[in-house]
Amino acid sequence: MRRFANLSVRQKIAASTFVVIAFITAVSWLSIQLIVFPNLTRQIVSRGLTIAESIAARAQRYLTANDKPNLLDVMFTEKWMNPNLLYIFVLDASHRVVAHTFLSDFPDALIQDNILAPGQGRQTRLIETSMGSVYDTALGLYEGIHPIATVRVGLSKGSIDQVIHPLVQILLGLLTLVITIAVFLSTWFSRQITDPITQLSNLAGEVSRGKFGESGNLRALVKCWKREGWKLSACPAYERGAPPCWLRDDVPGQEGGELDSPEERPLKCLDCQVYQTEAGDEIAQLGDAFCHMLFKLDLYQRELRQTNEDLRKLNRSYMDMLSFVTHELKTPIANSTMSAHSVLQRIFGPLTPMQQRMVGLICRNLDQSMTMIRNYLDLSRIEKDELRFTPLILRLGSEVVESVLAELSAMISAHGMEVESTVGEDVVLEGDSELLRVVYRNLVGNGCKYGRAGGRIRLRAIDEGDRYRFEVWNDGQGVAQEQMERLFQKFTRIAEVQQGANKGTGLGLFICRTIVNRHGGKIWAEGQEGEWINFIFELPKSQGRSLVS
Amino acid sequence: MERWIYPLLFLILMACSGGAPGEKPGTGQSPGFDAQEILVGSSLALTGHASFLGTQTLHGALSYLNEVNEAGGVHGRKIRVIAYDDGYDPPRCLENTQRLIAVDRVFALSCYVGTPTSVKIMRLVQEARIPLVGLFTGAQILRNPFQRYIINIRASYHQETGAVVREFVESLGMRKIAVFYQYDDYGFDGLTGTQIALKRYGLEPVAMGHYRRGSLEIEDALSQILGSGAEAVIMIGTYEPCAAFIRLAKARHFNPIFHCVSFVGPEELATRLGPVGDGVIITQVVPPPSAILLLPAAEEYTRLLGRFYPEDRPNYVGFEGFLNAKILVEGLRRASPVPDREKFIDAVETIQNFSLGIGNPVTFGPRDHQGLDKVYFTQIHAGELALVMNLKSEKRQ
Repeated sequence: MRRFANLSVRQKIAASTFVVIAFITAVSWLSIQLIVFPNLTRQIVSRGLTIAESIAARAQRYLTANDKPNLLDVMFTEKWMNPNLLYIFVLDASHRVVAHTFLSDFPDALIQDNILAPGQGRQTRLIETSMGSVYDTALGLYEGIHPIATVRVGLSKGSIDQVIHPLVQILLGLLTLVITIAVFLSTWFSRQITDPITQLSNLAGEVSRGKFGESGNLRALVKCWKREGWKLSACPAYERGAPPCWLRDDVPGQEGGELDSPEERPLKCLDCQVYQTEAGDEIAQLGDAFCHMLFKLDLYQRELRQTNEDLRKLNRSYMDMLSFVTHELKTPIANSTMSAHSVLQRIFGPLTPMQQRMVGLICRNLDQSMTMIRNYLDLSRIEKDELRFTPLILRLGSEVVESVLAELSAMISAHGMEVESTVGEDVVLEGDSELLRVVYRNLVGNGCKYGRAGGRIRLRAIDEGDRYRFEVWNDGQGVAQEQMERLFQKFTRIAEVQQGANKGTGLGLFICRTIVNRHGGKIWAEGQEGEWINFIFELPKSQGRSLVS
Repeated sequence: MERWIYPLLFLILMACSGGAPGEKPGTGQSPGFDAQEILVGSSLALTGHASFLGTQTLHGALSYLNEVNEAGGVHGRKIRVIAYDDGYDPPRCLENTQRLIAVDRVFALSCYVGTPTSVKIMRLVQEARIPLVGLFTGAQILRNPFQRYIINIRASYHQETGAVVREFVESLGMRKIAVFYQYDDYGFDGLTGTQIALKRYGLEPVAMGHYRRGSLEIEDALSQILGSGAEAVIMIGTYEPCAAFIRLAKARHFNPIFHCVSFVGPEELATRLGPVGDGVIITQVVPPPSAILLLPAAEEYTRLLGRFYPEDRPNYVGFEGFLNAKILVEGLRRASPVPDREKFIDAVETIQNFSLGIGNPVTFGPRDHQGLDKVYFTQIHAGELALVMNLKSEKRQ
């Protein structure tokens, strides 16, 4: 059964056809053997008895009158009237042959093959003789209770074969005819099913591989459909003579317009909400429906493409504006930060405690604003695909990590954090130092903002052959395991993940992942909620340039 | 799929086209001969109302066969004839023939006399595939359809009746012709032949009467024909009823031209009719045996009959039997030294333009098993049979 299930549709149809033919043949054969053959046997036995009775009626008279010539005349006449009658002979009471129809010596052995028991009237037996199998009928003639003669009639069993043989020949002949017709019909029928399905399957395969919408495919489909004689539904509006709205086969997606020539036919009305088909059978309906689906998909895809393009334009305008605004804000805020920090450091004179606190607050807010502006600038560059990636061979410890730690020293101190860095001078790789500083700035900044106050931030670099594995670990509240992946999505703030945590732009980790990916690496987070979190990123040592040089 | 479907179709076609080949006649050694003799069987009327026909046929044949045997036989084998009397009774002929084939195991059958008897054993001959050479009957059924094992020497009754009707209609201008026939296969055959011949001239028998074989009950038939005004009566019967019919007709002053076919037993008829028989026409399928000066066969027959059966007078019936024996011997001679029934038939078929000594060559062929076609006219004059060349001149005389 499993093997049958694995067959193709064509093979299944062929196999089913042959099973049916074999079944019919078997039934016919059994009918011959179980019905025709026994009936013929009964008929031949009955025929033998009838002949014997016919002979007996006259044999008694001729025997009494000792008229052998007329007895023989009757016997031979009967024999010649029945082509399957092999012999007739008459035995007297002593089982001596009185008359027979043999044209050679009488075969005496025949007498013993079918002897009637005393008092028995008739008996038919199938006996084997030199003439072949014979249905031998013995009919006893009695005078009162005294036997006077026995009439024996032999009918050839071959006569049954003579009937059966033509029947078998007719059966085989019909079988041949049926098989021949079935081969051609099943082949034709299976092709009617499988060919369009195969074409549809191929086309669906192409669509699944993303080749949907290519005019070649569509044209091929339409051509195929036209060649096979399947009609595509005409636009009802067009049929009513209304202004046509159709998809022309030579320019997929083109709607409306006038027909260039009378030969051009509208294929499908894209606005038709009610699908109608003129196709005949189910396969044609399937093809028509598939075609209809394809047209619809093509329409939706083009609509989606247009919407996407519109959104992309809108996003670009938004990013342009964001870039402009943040860029314009960056300079005054940087100046304000510098001025505020100068005031806070009492460069312009002493401050009252209240002034000191307020200026400190201004500085913190300005720092946050600066960080936000940087992030939005980075996002803008990323979205506009303007993030410049200039890889150079660099020493990560001195050129990136140390500068970032120095840059963030105020924040680190403000949070009372202790930073341990094992990223030494020996960590050399090819990368964009500016972008990697962004990464470290975000990760260490996150460690300060979301780590436990007075806790530790640990920076590690592990050489893994052709790449480095970098870790930025801090103890603190951490993030639930199932939320880890969300951290790197745009506008996902750890604050949302950690209830009550500090607010941010929600762009830092997204920017980190974009930068790491741009380096050909990957970034993820590990941790234990309430205990610690570790941001890990791997970078290839080389971007295709020799590190030695 | 195609890899196994076509071999399967081929096998089925082979099974359909297969079958038992048709059985062909064997050419194995036939029974009925050994180094010394060849057995030939015959069943014919040696007693009864047609005994003259059977006896004379047998005597004519034996006259020749005795001569051949005395001369050393055929290929050193003498021909021995086993003849049984059937009294012109078909069932007896059937019994005799079965005995000849099954018990006596003769090589061939010959010199059968009579239509009903010969027709009765026709199927037996076919079944046993035994040659039957020379039958004293002109029945059409023994000629058509063709039967391989039956060799006819003489012309058929259809030819005899056809010839006499032609003479009656064309030479004598008769339009009213009646038929008197024996109510059996012989009579039916002659009647049919007459009807066919008359139909060629747009005529039909003006009257028909019949009698039962073996009886002399001819009065009803005569009364049917008597009132028809027939100018001629064609008679398909044996000599006794035919003689009775002619006698009674003449006694009643009914004097058309009477005609009998050859089977009637011409001499016996002439003898029985006596002076009453004058003018009765009898068609013959052999020339007159009395023409010993003209025909070597007639001379030979007369001489041998006188030698072996001195009490017999030469006659047409015996002469036909004599000629049958000559064809039988010629066939045996032409068969190979070891005769075989099939080869014998093939040998007879090679007899082409063979002179029997009767002024008329005999010819057989693969589909022609009748050697002679000529019909002779004889007329009774003063108890004797005289050959008639032209019925018109005879009538004028």
